[in-house]
Amino acid sequence: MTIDWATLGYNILTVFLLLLVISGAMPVITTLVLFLAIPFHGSINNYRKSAPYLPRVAVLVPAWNEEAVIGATIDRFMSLEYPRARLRVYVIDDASTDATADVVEDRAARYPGAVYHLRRSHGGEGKAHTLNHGLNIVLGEDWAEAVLITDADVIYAPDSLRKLTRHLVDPEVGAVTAYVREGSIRKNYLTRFIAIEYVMAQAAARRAQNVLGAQACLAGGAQLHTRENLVAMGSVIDTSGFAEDTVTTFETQLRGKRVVFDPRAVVLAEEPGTVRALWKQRLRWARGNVEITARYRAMWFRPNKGHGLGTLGFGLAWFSIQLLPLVMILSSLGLLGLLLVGSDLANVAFRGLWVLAACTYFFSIFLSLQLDWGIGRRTLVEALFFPGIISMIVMLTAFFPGPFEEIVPGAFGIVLTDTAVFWWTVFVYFWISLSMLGGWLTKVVEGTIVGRVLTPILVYVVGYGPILCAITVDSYIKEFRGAETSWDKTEKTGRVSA
Amino acid sequence: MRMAMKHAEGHEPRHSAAAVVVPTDLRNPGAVFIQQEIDRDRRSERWLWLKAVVALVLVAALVVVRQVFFA
Repeated sequence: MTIDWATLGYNILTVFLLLLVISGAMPVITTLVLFLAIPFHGSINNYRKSAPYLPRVAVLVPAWNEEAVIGATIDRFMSLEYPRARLRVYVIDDASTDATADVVEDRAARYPGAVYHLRRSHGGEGKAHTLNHGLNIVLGEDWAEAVLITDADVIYAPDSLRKLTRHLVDPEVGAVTAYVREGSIRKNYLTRFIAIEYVMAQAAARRAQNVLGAQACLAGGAQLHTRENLVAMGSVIDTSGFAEDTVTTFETQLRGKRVVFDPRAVVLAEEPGTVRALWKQRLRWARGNVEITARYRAMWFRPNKGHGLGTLGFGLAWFSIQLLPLVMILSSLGLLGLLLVGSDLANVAFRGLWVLAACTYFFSIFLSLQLDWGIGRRTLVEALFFPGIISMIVMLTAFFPGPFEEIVPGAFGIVLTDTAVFWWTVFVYFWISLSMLGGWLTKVVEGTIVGRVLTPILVYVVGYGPILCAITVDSYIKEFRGAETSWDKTEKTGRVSA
Repeated sequence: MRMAMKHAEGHEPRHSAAAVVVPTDLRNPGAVFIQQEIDRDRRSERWLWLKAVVALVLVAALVVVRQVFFA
């Protein structure tokens, strides 16, 4: 028997390229499973273990030059539907150079015994250091039974704190987080994209994480801890990197306590209105996630009876986001490779992948819009074009092959030559990778003279999702280079609506 | 010590536990009101099943259109 090495090599190469394409399906399948888990939150949730419980809550508000927002923030905390005698606000002033100290002192006088001004002599070390200054004082006294870590610019719905504390009656719960909604007053195209992103990433995904039994991250501006939980962590927040919120979330669960998300406890937050500000904020988050991935490398995919962080489901959900840019590129290369070696599988794999992506995308969007119709009805266009207009066309090309390959060109009197079809196919196959370059381009264009007009158009064409993927790529590069880990505070203007 | 509230703090509800309680002081709404709120939130989560079915039906409709007209 003779071996046909050419055929064998071709077959091996085809299988390898096909595997590259299939790698692109993994995040899609994971997303689909996550969203299919959401309805189970109807029965798998923490409400049965909840009960009326109003512990003494110390609210920690780290503040650096927050004169525009801090007064209103304190006033709103003082007007929460929560017993005044059981609520204290500690503003930890990170050596502000503006009038923050004066505003806080004014409120401390207005609400005696309820508002405290804790000032650091040296600031600028980041939120975790600032919080630790407050924790040292708050946990040094025995008054607080629970600690709410928040930001200076967020607005809590009047009933939100009460809806968070009810879960702490369950001794298995170490921390609770709220549903953070985008709440900027002056909304623009970008805040609308962020708004629908938060519906999918919080109202939807965090419900699924409740079902899976592990939460990825307590929202930075809305995390309520039991005193015992913080004491068990040494009464300090991790200061070694960008992801102190995620470290706190993981450490809570690794110590055998549960982290719960309550979708009915709503907190509004001001979000960036420019791509550059978004990039700065999300780069910090993405670099934090890279650090977390490495820091807990011994935990991934190793199930443990004490917590759900090591399960296959949680691991896939985590790495689907962290490795998304990589699998997008691998998937594109696989499709291009199959096309170039002349395999019939290229077209089948392309349609299979994108039809699956389209079904998953539409299911997740249709469900998310219903989860928060208040946001959904304002962001229908952004929800539709979240992956970008070009990606939508690619999706439709895969889903409805006829119109985009024959009918639409034919309507314009265009007869596509074989060469044109080939290059269109190359573009379509590679677009998923190119879209990240487009995402980076939105940031570049925003800084130019035409940025004001062109950036919004580009974001709709390229998509908001690819911008987030491009930021993830940037975080890989920055972490690989060991770029400076300075603390950049997201600029706030106090443009949050109640 | 972590204990559930057994009684309203400072204010009694205006109605019996069976009826919907309207607190007179929202800062101290009382245990009955809070428990009803928990029950209401728990029940409302059951609507997730219907919402998921609606989303699935819409996706299924797209698939049917594809199969019937563009397959």
